[in-house]
Amino acid sequence: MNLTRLVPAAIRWRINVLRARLDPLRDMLQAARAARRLEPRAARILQDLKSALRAG
Amino acid sequence: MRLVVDLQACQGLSSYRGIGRFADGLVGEMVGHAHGDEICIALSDRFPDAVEAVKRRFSALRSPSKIVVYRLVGPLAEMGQGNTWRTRAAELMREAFLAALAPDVVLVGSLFEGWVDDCVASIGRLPSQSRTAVIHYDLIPWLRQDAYLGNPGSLAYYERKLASLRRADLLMAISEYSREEAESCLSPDIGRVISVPGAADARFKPPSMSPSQRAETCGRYGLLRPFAMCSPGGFDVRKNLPALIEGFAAMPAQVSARVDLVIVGSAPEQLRAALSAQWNGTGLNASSLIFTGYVPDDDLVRLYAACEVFVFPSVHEGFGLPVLEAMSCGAPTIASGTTSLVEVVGWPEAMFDPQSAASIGKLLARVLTEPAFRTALQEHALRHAARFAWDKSAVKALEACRTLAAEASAKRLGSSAAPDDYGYRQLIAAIGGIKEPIGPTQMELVAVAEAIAANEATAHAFRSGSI
Repeated sequence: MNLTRLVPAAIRWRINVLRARLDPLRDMLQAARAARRLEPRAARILQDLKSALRAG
Repeated sequence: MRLVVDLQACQGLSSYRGIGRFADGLVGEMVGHAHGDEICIALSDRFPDAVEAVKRRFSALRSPSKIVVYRLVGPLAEMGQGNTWRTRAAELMREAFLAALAPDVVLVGSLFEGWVDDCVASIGRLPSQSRTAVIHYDLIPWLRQDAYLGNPGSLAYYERKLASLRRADLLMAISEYSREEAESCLSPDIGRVISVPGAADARFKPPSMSPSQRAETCGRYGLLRPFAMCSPGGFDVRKNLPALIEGFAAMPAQVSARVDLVIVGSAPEQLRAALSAQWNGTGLNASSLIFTGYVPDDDLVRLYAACEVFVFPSVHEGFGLPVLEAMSCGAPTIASGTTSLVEVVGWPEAMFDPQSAASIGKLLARVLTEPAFRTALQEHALRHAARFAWDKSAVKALEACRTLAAEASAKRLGSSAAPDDYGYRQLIAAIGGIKEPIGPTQMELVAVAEAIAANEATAHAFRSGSI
């Protein structure tokens, strides 16, 4: 059975909106975890990259 | 001279095509003629299987070269929506890595890569102390935009590649025609252009083959009658296969009735169906059009030697390697009298007008009915093909690179010393300055930082001699 057919479009839209808001949060959490495991040089580069991106 | 060769051409999808064969042949021979020059092969980690294959190939040479692998963060194919930021960052990371190897010259094996796969190539996005040369194949998509650059994304991609090409100091064109094409289309904003014509791999020579071996090989592909053979080396529009069928049908019926037409290579199903429908519409025997599918090189050599005639109707080539391969095997070869094929075929009597079915049919029929002409074609094929040799092209390419290295050295003497950080600050600033609607995720930034650190370590190990 195709469940997406049973879920009204409005609810599907709402789920997608929630997912769009949650994905960056999940990305941030995963990245923070990965960043803690970086070697010192890579961690330094990451900081520099973030600064450069902020500076644009 | 320290020459760094980016050999992604032998890693991505082009590795299966003429581009991969050409880059492999030329660079392999350059390594063999390097005498005192240091040649380093740089590969992308996006193709791990190909890294191992290239390592095996280059470590088996008489004078093995050093091989370094740089790390990038993918996916990178430019046709993929959402890949753009990663691709731009990867271009910068690759340039920074190559510069950190402290080369005199960087040779790019093929610039027009990365639309459909994870190859990445750019020139001059970061300042560099070295000079850049490129193996240049053709400008076919640019000159036939309707067929190749139909959507705005692919056109923008190609324009960016052209901008990189204009920043190269030297173009090594794969034929005289390709050299003229580059100069006429891109002048005056273009570096020096030389031609380094290709050659067939040593495997392509007249095989020693008994009648039973010949029958066995042909039988495996369903070739039970005399056949005309076409190995187009691709199935895009310019290969002009419908005109070949028209030309075949234009032969006198008693000639076409005794010969099959064999098309070698993995033709897409849709094209097969269209060509079969066209064939059937001409009234020719339906079973006389044979598609072999992919044929390994060993069998290809035998088919070239077994065919009645090898015919190549393409309207536009940068070189036309299948033609030279067929000629090297002694196949009586006829081809379009256009673009690079004129120099590869090398005999006006062996050429036809690819736009004219009558012209194709007339020449095909002549080969199939005049044994003396067929023999003359065979003799010419072997004689002319022998003029194309990798060693001559490799020596010429190395000479051109040494000139560039001397220029790079003079430029370094006249300017401030290379930065101690090998362009690290410029790399970070350039990545920070990438302007794309979809930026990197936080996880991608972590991966990019790790890749840059790994590339720094690899480059340091190379410079200090531990690679």
